[in-house]
Amino acid sequence: MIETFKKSRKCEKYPSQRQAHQASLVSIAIVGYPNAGKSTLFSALSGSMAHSANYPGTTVDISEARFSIGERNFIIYDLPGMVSTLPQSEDERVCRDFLFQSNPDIVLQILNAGSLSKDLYLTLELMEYGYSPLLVINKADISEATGIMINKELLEKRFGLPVFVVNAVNHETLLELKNHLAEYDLTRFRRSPTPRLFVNYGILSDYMNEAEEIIRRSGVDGGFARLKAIELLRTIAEDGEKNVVRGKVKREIKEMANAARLETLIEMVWRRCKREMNAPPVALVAEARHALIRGILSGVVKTQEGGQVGAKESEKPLEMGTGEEISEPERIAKTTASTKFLSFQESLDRIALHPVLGIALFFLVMWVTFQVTFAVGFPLSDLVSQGFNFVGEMIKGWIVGMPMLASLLADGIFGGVGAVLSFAPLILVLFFAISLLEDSGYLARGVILMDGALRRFGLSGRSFVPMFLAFGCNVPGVLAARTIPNTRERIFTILALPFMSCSARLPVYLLLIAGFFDRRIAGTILFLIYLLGIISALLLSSILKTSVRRGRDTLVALELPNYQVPRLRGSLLSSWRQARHYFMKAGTIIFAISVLMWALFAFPTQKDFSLNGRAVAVEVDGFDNGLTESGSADSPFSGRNLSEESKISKSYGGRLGKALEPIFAPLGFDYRIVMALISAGFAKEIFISTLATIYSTESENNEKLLRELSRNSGLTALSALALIVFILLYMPCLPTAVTMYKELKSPIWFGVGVVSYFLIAYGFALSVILVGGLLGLK
Amino acid sequence: MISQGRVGRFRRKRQKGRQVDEISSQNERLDESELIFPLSHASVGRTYIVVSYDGDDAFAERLAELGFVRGARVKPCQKVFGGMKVVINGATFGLSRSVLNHIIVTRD
Repeated sequence: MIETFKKSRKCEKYPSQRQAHQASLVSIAIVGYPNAGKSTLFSALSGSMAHSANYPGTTVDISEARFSIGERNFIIYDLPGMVSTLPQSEDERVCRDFLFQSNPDIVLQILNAGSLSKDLYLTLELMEYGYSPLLVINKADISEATGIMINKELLEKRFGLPVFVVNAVNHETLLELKNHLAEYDLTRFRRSPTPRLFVNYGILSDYMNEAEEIIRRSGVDGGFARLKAIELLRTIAEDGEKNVVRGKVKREIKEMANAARLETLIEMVWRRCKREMNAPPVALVAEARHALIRGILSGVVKTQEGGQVGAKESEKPLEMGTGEEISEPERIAKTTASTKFLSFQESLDRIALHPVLGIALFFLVMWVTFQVTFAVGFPLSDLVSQGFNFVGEMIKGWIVGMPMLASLLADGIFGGVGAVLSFAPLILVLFFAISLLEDSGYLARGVILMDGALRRFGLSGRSFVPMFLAFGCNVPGVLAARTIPNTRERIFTILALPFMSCSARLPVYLLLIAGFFDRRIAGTILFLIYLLGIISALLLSSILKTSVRRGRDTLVALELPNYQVPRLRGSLLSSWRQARHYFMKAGTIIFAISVLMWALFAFPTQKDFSLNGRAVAVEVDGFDNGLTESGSADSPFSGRNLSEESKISKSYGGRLGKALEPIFAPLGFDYRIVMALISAGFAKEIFISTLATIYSTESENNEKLLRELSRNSGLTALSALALIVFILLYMPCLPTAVTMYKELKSPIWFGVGVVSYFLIAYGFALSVILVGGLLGLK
Repeated sequence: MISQGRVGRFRRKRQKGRQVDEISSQNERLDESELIFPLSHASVGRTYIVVSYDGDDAFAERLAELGFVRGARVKPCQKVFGGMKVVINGATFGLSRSVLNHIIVTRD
């Protein structure tokens, strides 16, 4: 069973881990670099499938599963990927905090056989902080194909840790690991208060020792004095005039016993590193660790060309066989199987990363993804929607004599839940497609390709996948923006996301296009609407980029995994997991809002609600606006329709619509459209159902609704186009708005966003009316 | 009313941003005829040695953690729209242009 629980910085908020200790379960935390194969190993060990990688587009959830080997019961946690224990993004922070605060019995680190020297960096850090990670070298098959041979015994001897070489997708290779876990001596490998390994930090050594001592004595380190000492080196900075900025240092150390001395130490060592080594201290920490890794790996890893990874040789990159100048050894090596494998990968990259072909291919892949998503997802969505309508009608039939309750259940609750769940197939298919792309290794290439283009607009390549996800639904898009380490770019991305035309808006466009435009130009209009969304997103981020102070750019340095055939089962479960994340976040809110919306348009109730209200309502509540026209004998407005419309117009929602009508008059929207726009603010798809309610048609009966709209709404083709533009841009739906507010963590930015959306939407819609008027269009 | 401290921080950040821009544009002007140059100007297929980092400390930290330490050998494999594909210590990375401009290398 996989359970997902929310991230938290506080140990006390990890109840599952506490329960594990109470239930005498052995806890295992799987850690490793992104895309190392953590989720695959998690699934293989536990028998469950999960997916967790922190390339953009994935969540920062921690999955857990329970399993048994022999008589021992385990609880296993699948953490997001992390490069080091000094986090630079929210997901890395989640991972580190979980690991350090929950203190699992076994830390199982998964390493990529092809890039051991990089992955061992985390091993060194963990050992420095007292952990004894169990090392699992994954993708052994790929490393063999690329000609890399690993001396497992030598590595075990040098680290003093058990090492397993596995292929996580092949369960037979995991037998040895499973047997080991069953007999694992837990006391031997629990975290020790003293480091398991010492690194020579050169000019930083004196600082490390003294700072660590001060921090330990102050008792604020939580058992991680060395980590705190290193972290403190990141708090000092230099401004544009080479002045040292110590504000953050003071805040961090104010509770420590010998704060003044520590502050002096930090500044001294920082100045010395800059002066003598021309590098920030933490970079020197990394260099010292990499130097040790080179020593450890000497003789452990051998390449097929006879090269050794270790000492000076370790810096020699694997020959990839690219470029014009090919040496003789490379030519010979090309004949081997390993070179064939690499050549194949290279060939794929030559196309996928080509400046022209690559971009064209990328857009083609995205287009196909959307086509498949909509072709497969929409029929399924229709089925779900019809199912909910059917149940709603049945409820209305069952509850006779209590129209209010029947309306609440059928229209409010079932209508609202149905509105959310009808999008489930679309969202699942989209997530499945994205998961396949990610698993294949292509998505990381897409991020790099898009970086150059998006950077001009104040965004980065990492912004791309959240924006892409937002085409399916804005909520997961906003959540995926967590993987952008740079706050400024994350804010810009989140603010730009609502302009991406989510799948909920599509039925609205389709309805209006079908009602007011020729079928032959419908596709072009739809394409232009999507394009306008993208242009508006880039426009907003460009405005923000020029008007907001400049910060540092996001470091886009992504490891490009080898291409592989995606695993269908893994992608299916991954898409389910992500979709569930959306339903948990958005579904609950929409459920509540649906009831609220129902109340907004159902109250205040009219005295004649359950009586022969229709005729009475026309008399009593008849309103001036358009009544004379619509109430005429020729009008399609029957007495029944007029009464429903009247009731809605007298509701709180209707009154609000009427009050706002003058603002929208230049755009050609009457109060009924305004009411529908207000309701669509809660969820875009509700626009149709509100109009259907106003015009008293069944929401699934689009033909009748279209007839009503074209005859009685006062909309022309031009104002319908303006309406489409306005719906695209005017505001995010409520679940997105709530998610944005939480993720932005700033009421000011959220306010800036909401105001901008309305102004941009109004501006574009008015431009459509004005330009169309100038061109003589109606 | 905005406090003096906030204005100061704003100015410092803006200056820092300008400084990073200057470094970036200076690096753009360097090419392979120089002794040292940014990785963005390196040729595909050749091997280079990382000499230093420019720009933000956080850049340097993360690059060093990923293995782009001074003295490490890096081999550009392919120019990409807006960046480059490089191999270092057996790992393949896609680096954006802004990153490439901040890694200073010399020919091996």
